[in-house]
Amino acid sequence: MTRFWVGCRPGRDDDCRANHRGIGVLVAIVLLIVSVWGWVLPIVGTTPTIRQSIETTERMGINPAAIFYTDVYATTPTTEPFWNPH
Amino acid sequence: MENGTADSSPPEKNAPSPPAVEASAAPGSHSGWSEDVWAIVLGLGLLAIALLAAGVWGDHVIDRFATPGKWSSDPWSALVGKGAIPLWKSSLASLVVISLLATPAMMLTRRDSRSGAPLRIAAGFWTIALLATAAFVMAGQEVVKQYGFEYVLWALLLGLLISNTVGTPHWMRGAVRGELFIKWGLVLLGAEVLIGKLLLLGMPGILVSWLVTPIVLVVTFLFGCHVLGIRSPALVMVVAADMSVCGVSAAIATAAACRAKREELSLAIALSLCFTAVMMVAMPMALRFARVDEIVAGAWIGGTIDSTGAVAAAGALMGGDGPDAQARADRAVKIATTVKMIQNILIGAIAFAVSVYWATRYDTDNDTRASSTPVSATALGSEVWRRFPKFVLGFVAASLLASLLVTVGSRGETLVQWSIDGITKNLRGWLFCLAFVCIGLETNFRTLLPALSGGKTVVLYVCGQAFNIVLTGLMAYLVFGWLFYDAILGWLPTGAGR
Repeated sequence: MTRFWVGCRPGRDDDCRANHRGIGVLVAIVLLIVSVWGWVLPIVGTTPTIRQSIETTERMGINPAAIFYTDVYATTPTTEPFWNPH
Repeated sequence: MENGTADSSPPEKNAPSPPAVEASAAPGSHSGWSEDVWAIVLGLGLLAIALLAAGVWGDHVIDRFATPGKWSSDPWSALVGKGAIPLWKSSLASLVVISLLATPAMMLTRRDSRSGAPLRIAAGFWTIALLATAAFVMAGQEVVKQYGFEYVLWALLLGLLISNTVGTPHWMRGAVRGELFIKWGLVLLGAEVLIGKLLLLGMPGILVSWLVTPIVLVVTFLFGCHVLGIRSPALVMVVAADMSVCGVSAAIATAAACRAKREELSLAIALSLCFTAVMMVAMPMALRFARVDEIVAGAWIGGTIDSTGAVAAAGALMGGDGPDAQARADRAVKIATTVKMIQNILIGAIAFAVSVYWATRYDTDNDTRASSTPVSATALGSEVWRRFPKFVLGFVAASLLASLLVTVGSRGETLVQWSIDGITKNLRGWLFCLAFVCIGLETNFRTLLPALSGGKTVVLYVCGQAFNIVLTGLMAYLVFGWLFYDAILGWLPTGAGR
């Protein structure tokens, strides 16, 4: 890491080069993530079809990304017996 | 995930991967307590504190602990929220609590003195916490959330990004303790599985969920092991449980029970999330096209789609167009989520059964069959106990405790609800998120390729899910479309009546 700012010795330090490559890839992917989440997805979210489906689930109190049933508020009112033979 | 080997070196390119969740004590445990015991103590202790806090402060505990929220165009709004307390404050409070409780456990179960240094653990923990926060913010974007790509996926990918580019720094490794976070989170999850719910939900849902789910689980497991010839039974079991029970949470619990490797758990979750996103949109479209009654469709969706939130969202899509669209959607959502809830309750029973089966059947170190040499009952019992992932007992204890409190009366039920909604659910979310960042930080992409088994894992998921769809559809028609149809119409709220 200490030689990152001054460059690698030509043909002698594979680890150093791999490290540079790793940092480059990391920076590139982070930039990609920032641009997708900061620019692309907000635009996608304004398209009529997606907007309508988001508003429908919001209106019904549903979190489509819920992992477990206590995360789903639409299930909370289900407290009366579902099946009572009497 | 190993505890201490990670302290000395980055992930080896072709090194055999340890289990996602270790069943035994860390060899270098300095407290004499294994991680399982720590998970039980931390989980049940936190649950007790949450119940006490809810008893003393009532509903004021709600919103004190949280995870980043939903946003559409400004990521900062995920950390601000709409409540009286900004989400960044309640998120920070959650992480501080976890950090304070986890640090002694991390120090006392360390393998070497360097990795257990408090400053290193603190620096590592807060870096992982930063990545976990980023994962929650990524998952909170409304389009991402709409298609059910949960925070676990982004947490895993962020961890993988670091470990596969610049490598996981050595100073972080003392805090990279995914197995501790998973087990602790699972014990807290136990409190959310209320056995009393089953009594309310009744026979029709049980017939669809409890009859079909174990059949699909066992058939998929046998199919994967004997027909597809996938070499890792643990991978097959995790995919089968993930696909047949309730997605991510079932995968995590089963992986812990059968000691699946971390890349096997990662793969099963990635498969589940991708197929769930497709099925959540495609299944209601297909059922509406085939003009399936929304009650039957709701039961079919509830028994088939993996994730609970996606089940509710798919049920909502059953409304379609027309004047009674909203009522149809309400009926479908109610039936779908009810069936799913009953299926979710199976998570504890399945994890328990898998852990006992694995302890008696497989050598958990390398997933080969255990020796068939006859042994005495006592020796077998002690061997099963040695291999048994003991944190499962914490899960069951938390479930029994919460279920018992709920039966005490409305006060008990309110207390459980406040402590879960206000405290443990959010902390459990953070624990799972931290765990998946850690799994990513310890995983090399190359180790994911063998877990794919040349595409057989995808084939296993597709075949298992196809079988699940057919069997659940038949049961849904039989139970919800015929046997209990009139009773169910009477149960549905008047506003949503036909």
